[in-house]
Amino acid sequence: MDFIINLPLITIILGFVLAVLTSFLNEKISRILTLCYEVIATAFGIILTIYTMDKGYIEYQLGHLTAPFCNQIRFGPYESLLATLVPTVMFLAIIAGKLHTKRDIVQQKEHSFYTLLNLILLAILSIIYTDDIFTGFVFLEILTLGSIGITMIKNHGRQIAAALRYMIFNLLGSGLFLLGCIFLYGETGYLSMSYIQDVVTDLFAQGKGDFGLVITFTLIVTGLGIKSGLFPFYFWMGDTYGGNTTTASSVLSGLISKGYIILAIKMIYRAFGIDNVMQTELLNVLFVLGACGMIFGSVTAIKQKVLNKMVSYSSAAQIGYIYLGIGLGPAGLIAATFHIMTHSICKSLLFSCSNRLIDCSGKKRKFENLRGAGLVDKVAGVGFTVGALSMVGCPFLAGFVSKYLFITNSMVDISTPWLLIRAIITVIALLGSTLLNTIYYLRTVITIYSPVKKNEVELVRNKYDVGFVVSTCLFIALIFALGLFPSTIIEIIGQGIGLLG
Amino acid sequence: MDLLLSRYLEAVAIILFAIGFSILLFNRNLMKKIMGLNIMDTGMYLLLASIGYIEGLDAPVGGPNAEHIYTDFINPIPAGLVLTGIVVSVSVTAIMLSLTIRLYSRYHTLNLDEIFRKIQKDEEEGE
Repeated sequence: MDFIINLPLITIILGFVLAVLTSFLNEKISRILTLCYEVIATAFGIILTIYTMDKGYIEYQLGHLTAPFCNQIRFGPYESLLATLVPTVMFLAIIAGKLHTKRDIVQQKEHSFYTLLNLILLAILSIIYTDDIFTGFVFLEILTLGSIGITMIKNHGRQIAAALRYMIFNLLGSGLFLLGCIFLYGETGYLSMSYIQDVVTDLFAQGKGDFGLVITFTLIVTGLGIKSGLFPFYFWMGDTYGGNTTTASSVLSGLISKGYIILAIKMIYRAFGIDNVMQTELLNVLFVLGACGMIFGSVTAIKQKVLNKMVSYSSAAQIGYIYLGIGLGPAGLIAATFHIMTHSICKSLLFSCSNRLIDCSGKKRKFENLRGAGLVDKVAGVGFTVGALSMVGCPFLAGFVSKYLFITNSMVDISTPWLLIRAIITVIALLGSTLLNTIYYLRTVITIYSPVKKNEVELVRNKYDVGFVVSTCLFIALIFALGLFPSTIIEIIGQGIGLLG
Repeated sequence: MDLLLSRYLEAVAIILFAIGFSILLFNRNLMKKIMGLNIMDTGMYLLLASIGYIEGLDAPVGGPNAEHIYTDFINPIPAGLVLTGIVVSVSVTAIMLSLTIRLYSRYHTLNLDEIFRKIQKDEEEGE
């Protein structure tokens, strides 16, 4: 047996060990250990992706017994690719936001910030790898607790209130998810996703439990949708993502919301089975909610007067894209997964650059105070522009490939009237959302590059930060790499989705 | 009606869940939201425990010399899930309480709408 198959478990255990260590070490060593953990996790993810492209999926028993009597993790190219993305983005988010972390967080509490980040990373990786619904729930809650921690770590009145509101919605979602899991266990008698799928398939074939399973599926996906910010449960995003320190905003918007979505994908494809789910109307409901999120999220973003909040509500629109892709079925999932990668990278870049531009204006977040900020902090200006253009969908950037995949994959099967209507709705929603994205992103880009007279707006030159420059360059490189050479990633995603069920 | 009466544990569990869910969602008082969360979680534990229970069978505990026939015992797994859920619930309640204490010490109210009004007012004065 190859040693490589132990790497997922090693990554998770390493996360636990580092979370404990960073809880009592000083902030400098904690940061270094956390960054090392992310580098190791990224390297392991790359190794596993290459390995599983060759060997297919691996089922790894966590004990001496076999499933369903023992817990197991399961990984293929799909899971390994996502397990490469998450630590990479977190690494870049940490080095981009290092100066802001030092400024915004009390020195005595800074090491706790890295403890929370380690917990968040291991929770997302565990969600990616798990093949058990209750283990998924436990790590979902660990992810929730970690995300609340980093939301309130700034110790600002508004942030604490935002953390509480975020927590309430998360707990509502967790409650629905757990209730769904309990019903699922009651109906199937298993917690292991592979075995659950067999029983669900039998029940659908016999025509039994159709109503019960639909209710169960609805509870689970609704719970995860609330947690990730699916329309209409997205209005907490503005304060939660927008008022935070750079690293926290990037991780919350770019990674944590994706953790919930990945679990939803696993529940649909692994636990229920896509063939069973497609016999119900539930994917169509996700499709409609996703399309609504694309439009309403963008409309909410346009109404914002503060840069951070605009970027935050833009996430609601992008989450809508992802759920629209999930609602299209397996072909749409390729687009949705590619967009998960695109959004994680672009949103983290946008948040890190937004906060630097806000620093230029003397910490004034309104658009009128940011005029000319891009000319003062050129790296932040370029970074924001590239991220914004990618979100809009300019060619040669990752966002363009995402939108192209959504449109083409929605037209893979248009054999029935509903499938044709669905493809038309996808195109209209994408075009509408792109137009709205253009309005608020390009408005911001024009604002930050508008020259100003010295007595009009007071701008401050930011302190040079090597970490921010390096991370911005790497984010931009990743955006161009995904935009210019997407075929390998799309092939990995396609192969992974084929092995997911 | 007979189905409801024969499965009264599950019915009560769902009612508790619904009560807790609606308190957590709609009530504006922070302490009551926390209570709602705990009621919701209690409902779920009751549901889990009722799934595992089989009338007429024993608790899943055997002595060293006993012959273990698994059909003599109730399902032990839901009990384990309940314990895990309780641990999660306690952690979450602790964090919510700490957030509530911090907000109360700053804004001297437990009403969420009032807190956001005061935050808005502070920000407008700051500008």
